[in-house]
Amino acid sequence: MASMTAEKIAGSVRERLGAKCLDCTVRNAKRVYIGVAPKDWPETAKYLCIDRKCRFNIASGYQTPGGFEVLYHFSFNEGDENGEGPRTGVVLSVRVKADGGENPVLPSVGKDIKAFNFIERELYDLLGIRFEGHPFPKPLLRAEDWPEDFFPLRRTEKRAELDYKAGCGTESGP
Amino acid sequence: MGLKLKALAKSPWVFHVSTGSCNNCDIEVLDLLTPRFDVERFGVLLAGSVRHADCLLVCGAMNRKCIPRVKKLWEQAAKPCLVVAIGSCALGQGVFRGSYAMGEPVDKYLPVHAYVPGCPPKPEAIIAGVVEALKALKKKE
Amino acid sequence: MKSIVPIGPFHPLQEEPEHFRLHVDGETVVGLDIEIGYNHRGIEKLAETKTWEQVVFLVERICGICSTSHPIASVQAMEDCGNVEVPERALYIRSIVGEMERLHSHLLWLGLAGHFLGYNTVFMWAWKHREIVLDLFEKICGNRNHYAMMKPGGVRKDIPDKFAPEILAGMDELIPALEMYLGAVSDDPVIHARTKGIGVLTAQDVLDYCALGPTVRASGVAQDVRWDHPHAAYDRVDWKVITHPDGDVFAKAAVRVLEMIESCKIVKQCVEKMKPGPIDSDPKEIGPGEGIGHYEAPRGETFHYCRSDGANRPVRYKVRAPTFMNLPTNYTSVIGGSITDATIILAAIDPCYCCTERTAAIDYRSGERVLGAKDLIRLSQEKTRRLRREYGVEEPEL
Repeated sequence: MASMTAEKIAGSVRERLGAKCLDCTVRNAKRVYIGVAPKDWPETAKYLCIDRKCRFNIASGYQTPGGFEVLYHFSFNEGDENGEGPRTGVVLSVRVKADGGENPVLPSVGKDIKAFNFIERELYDLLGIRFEGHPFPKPLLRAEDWPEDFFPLRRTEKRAELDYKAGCGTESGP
Repeated sequence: MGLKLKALAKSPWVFHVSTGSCNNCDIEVLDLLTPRFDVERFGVLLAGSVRHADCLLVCGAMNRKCIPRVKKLWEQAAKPCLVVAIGSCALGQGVFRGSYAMGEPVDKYLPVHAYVPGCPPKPEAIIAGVVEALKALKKKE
Repeated sequence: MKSIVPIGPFHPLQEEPEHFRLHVDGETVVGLDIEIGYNHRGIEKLAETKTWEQVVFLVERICGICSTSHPIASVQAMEDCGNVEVPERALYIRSIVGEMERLHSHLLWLGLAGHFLGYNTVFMWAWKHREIVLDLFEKICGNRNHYAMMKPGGVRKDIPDKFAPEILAGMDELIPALEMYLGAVSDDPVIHARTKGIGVLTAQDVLDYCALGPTVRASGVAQDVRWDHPHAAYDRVDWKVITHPDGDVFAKAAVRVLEMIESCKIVKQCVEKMKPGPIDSDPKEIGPGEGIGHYEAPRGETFHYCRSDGANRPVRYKVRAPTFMNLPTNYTSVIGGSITDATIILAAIDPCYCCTERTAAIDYRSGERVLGAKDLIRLSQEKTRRLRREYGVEEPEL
C-alpha cells in the first residue's frame, strides 16, 4: 500500500510534467527524487505548491564537480489512495542544476510564493547561487566582515573530485 | 576589605551575557531565579544593566559578530567586576571549535575568574562557580 | 511577589543591529525588518568534518530547548540514507524522550509568555513544573538537557523497567497542573483581552508561508509531522492532533497546553506498551546516497538532509529549524498592531528566546531608535496592569 502511494505520486507528477521531468527515482516508500531544468523550475514549483497543495519543506544547495545544484523538498500529505487513514507521507525532492558554472544562477520562485524568500537569500549567502527576480535580495545571515566572494559551503577542487568518484545523486544533466 | 568589595561579596549583582550558542546555558542561568534554586536567597540578583553588574556570567562560543559587543560591555562594566565563564562553549568553544563563524574562546577577550564546565552545567554548578569567583576575590584582598 | 524579573541576555548598546526591527508610527507598528545570522555558527560546514555519530552530538547543540528533536531528525536522515532498520524498543524510547522534551519546551514557553504579559506567577510556576520533567530526564538520560540518547540505528541508552513507575508518576503529577493552567487561562478576562484577536494568522496565511508547528495548528490546519509522516512510535499509540480555529495568540497558547496533555498520554502509553528487546541495530556504515529525516519538534518540523559518498562522514548536511519558516509570518501578524502587543506576538511563534530580546522599535520617519526590548516588555506588562485595574481582577495566585 505505502509504496504504491510513492509510486502513484511519482507517476502523476511525471505525467503532468511530461518531457520537463528529466528523471524520476522512487528511492523507497517515502522518498521520490525528480530532476527538472532551471527554465522549467518555476512552473514545477507552482504546480507542486498550488495545484498539488504540497508543503515546501526547504531547499538544500550543493556543489558538485559539474556545477551547483539545488534540491527543493516538498511534503505530500495526501494520505492513502482514498485520502484517508494515517498518512504515509512522501517527501518529493526536485533537483535543479543551476546554469552559469562558477557563477550559478537560478530563477527565483520567491517573487510568487512567499515561503521561498528566506531560503533563496540563504543559498546566496552560503553558496553564491543568485536567484533572478528575487524581490528582496539582501543578505540573510552574512556577517558584515565576510569578503564579497566568501561562500562558506563552497568546496575546493580536490574535495569535489572525491564526491564525483563516489557517484551519488542522479545522473541528469552534465 | 574595602566597603565596595564587602558589599559585592555579600550580594553580587550578576549580568548575563550570551555570545552565541544553543542557549541551554542561558536557560540554566534563568533557572537560578526559579523557586527550586532561588539564588535571591543568597543575595544574588540579576542586574538589568551592565553598569550595575558585579559579576558577568558569560555563556556562548563567541560568535564573531559578538566580539566587539562583548569588548564594549566589558569597558562599560564598573570595575572590579568578576567574570564567570559558563559551559563548554565559553571554556573552549565546545563542539563549535574550528567553525568559520566563531572567534576565539571568551578568555582571549575578557579576564575570566572562574570556569564552570558542563554542557550545560547544572544550576548548582553555576552557583558554585560564582562562589569560587567570590572566594578568589576575597583571597586576593 | 518580587518586582519585574529582567530576563536577559540584554545588550543595551545602541549601535548593534537588531534581530527584529519594528518600524513604528506612534503606537502602531507599520513595518518590520527581520535579520538573522546572530547565531550563525557554521554548523552545516562543521558537520562535513565530523563522523556520522559525532554529527548527532553536533546537531544536538543547535538549540538547547529542542535538544532531542534535531538528533532524532538527524538519525532518521542517516537511516534513510543507509536503509537502516531500527528496533521497536528504540522507537518507543525515541517517542518518550521526544514527548518529554515537548513538555519541557512548552512549559518554558508558557513561563516566558507569562513574563511578557506581566504574569510573573505563571513564569515561576511553569518553570517549577518544568523541573519535574528535567528531573526525569536526569534520571533516564543522565543530563537535564542535551540527553545524548540518539544514534543511527537506535538509541544509546535503555530505559530500564524500574524507572517506569517514576515516569508514570511524573506524568500523573503534570496532567492536573496543565489542566489548572488551561482553566486559569480560559477564565481570566485580562488574558482574553491581551491575547484574543491579537496577532492573527489565517489558515491561508500559514499555508502561504509554509509555517510549522503550533503556529499552524492554531490557525485550524491539522498539520503535524508525527501524524502526516509517521515515525518513531507515533503510529503505535493513540493520540490526536490538536488544532484551534482562531489563529490568534490565545489559540497558540491553548494549542500548546492541550498538546502537553496529549504528550503526557503518549509517554504513558509508550512506557506501558514497550516490550523488552534490542535498542540498537548497530549499523557499520552509511552507504552512498541521500537521506531525509524530519521530526515534529516543539516549534514545528525540523528537517535534516544528508548526503553520503560511503565514507564515515557526510559530504553535505543541511539543517532547517522550524523557526526559519515561522519567522516570516511575523510580517503578517505584527504589522498593523500596537507596540504593546509586539512582544507577545513575536513570542507566540516560539522562536529561539534569545532572539526575541534583540528587538527594537524605530520611528519610521526619523529612523531613530525609540524603544528597546526591555521597553517593549515593560509596555506589555503595563498594559496588563491597566487592564487588570479596568476589569478589577488580581494576578492569579494559582
